[in-house]
Amino acid sequence: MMKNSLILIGALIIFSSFAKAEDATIATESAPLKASGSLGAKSIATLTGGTKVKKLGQKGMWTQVEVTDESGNVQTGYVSSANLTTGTSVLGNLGKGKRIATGGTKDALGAAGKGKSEAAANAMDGMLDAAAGDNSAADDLLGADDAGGESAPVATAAPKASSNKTLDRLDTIKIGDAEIMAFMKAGGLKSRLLK
Amino acid sequence: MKNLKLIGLITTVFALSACQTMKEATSTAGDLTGDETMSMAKNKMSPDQVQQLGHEMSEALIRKYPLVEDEKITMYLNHVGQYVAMHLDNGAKNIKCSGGKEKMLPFKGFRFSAIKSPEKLAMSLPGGYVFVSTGFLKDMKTEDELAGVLAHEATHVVCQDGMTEVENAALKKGVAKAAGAGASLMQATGTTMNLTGNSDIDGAVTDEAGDMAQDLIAKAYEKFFQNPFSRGQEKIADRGALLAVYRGGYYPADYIGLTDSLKEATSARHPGSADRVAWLKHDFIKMQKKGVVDTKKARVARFAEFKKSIK
Repeated sequence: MMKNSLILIGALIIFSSFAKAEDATIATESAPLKASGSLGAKSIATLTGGTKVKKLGQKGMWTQVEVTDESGNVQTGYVSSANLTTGTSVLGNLGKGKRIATGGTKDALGAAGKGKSEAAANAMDGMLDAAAGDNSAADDLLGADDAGGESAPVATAAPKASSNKTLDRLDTIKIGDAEIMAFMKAGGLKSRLLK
Repeated sequence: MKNLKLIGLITTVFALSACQTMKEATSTAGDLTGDETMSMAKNKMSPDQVQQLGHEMSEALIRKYPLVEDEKITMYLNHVGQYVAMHLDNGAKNIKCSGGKEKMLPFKGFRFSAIKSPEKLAMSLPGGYVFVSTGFLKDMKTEDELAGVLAHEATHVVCQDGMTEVENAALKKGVAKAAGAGASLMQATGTTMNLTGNSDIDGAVTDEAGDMAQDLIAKAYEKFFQNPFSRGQEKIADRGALLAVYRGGYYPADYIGLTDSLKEATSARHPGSADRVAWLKHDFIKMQKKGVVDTKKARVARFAEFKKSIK
């Protein structure tokens, strides 16, 4: 009986270690790799679409991942779970497989904010960093223990030339981090994910 | 080009039926199955294919409902939309997507815009395209209501509502095999391919594949036309929207009030406003216990300015 229990426990440990090491792929054009599982956490890199990552764990809406760059350097961090897919066939045409694109301050919103000044990007990062921390107000809503948030990637370049110029214009709208934060402040909005 | 026209016709139909929760029109729900009951597709379109499909569908939509080309309106919608989209529920625990679909942000992000129509319309298309009609915008009283509507549509996108039908139809027709690795769907969405380098051969292959793809997509869209998003999908979109506005600091009760004001017809599959208000209030009570602050006065002026621009 005891022996069987030990075997079962051992099997569970082995299984869980495999489960934790499940592979996933970045399913959006880019995704910020955050230092911790929070909207306000510092972005330590930007992962490009098709990048393979190893899932290490889950924290609310954030998945802890390990990623290896082209030089073999291993980095861990958090990405929004909605940036990831575990599907095998979904990336048939996407799998460009680039690794860590950049380090530093660039994140999904930052990527959308191309053309904004470096100072504006840094200001946004500082704002987010200062605001990072307690997300308890958003915890346990709707009877779950989930918390956290993610900057959805925003509009970037048009996918292709279309026959409709107004739609092409829509596709090229870019809104940077600083602009979004200014809009939030001007409207008296207080994000519960930045507390 | 004829194929694109076909796609255009079909996708317009899809777009119109995409979110009847925000329509006053009578539901056309039939007895066809929706996301909740259809089996999951074993093959999925890639995120960039979905984005391209959404682009094509948007082109078709705005042929019927022209885009509002006022830059101020578009930018305001995108500010509100992008901000509230940052607060969507992207995890697996709080809000579970109908039919077991994994949550996925659109490949190139969200795009929000206004379309010209006196009807009350709000709709989302694959790839993150979200449209709201001028008729609906005129009826809104606060930015907080608008944020809720945009978050509702964005939740449909994140949950990939409607994509299962498209992917299942693709699988059934074996379209992926016809041109290899989903390339036919790329063709169907207007993307050029270079299979062999021989333009005659490639042209024949892609024409055949494109016809097949469009045929199956047409069938999928016909289902959409007769099936607005399911009751379960609408409930999730509502709850996801309420959570996003709450997290973003908007006043959630405004979205509930707007929902209550919609006098849409109901069907067996589609929720009426009374049902929707009931589940929204259920969540709102929990939010109130956490603390809800009404700060919408700070947004009155800019929303009034926005509304003045809407013709």
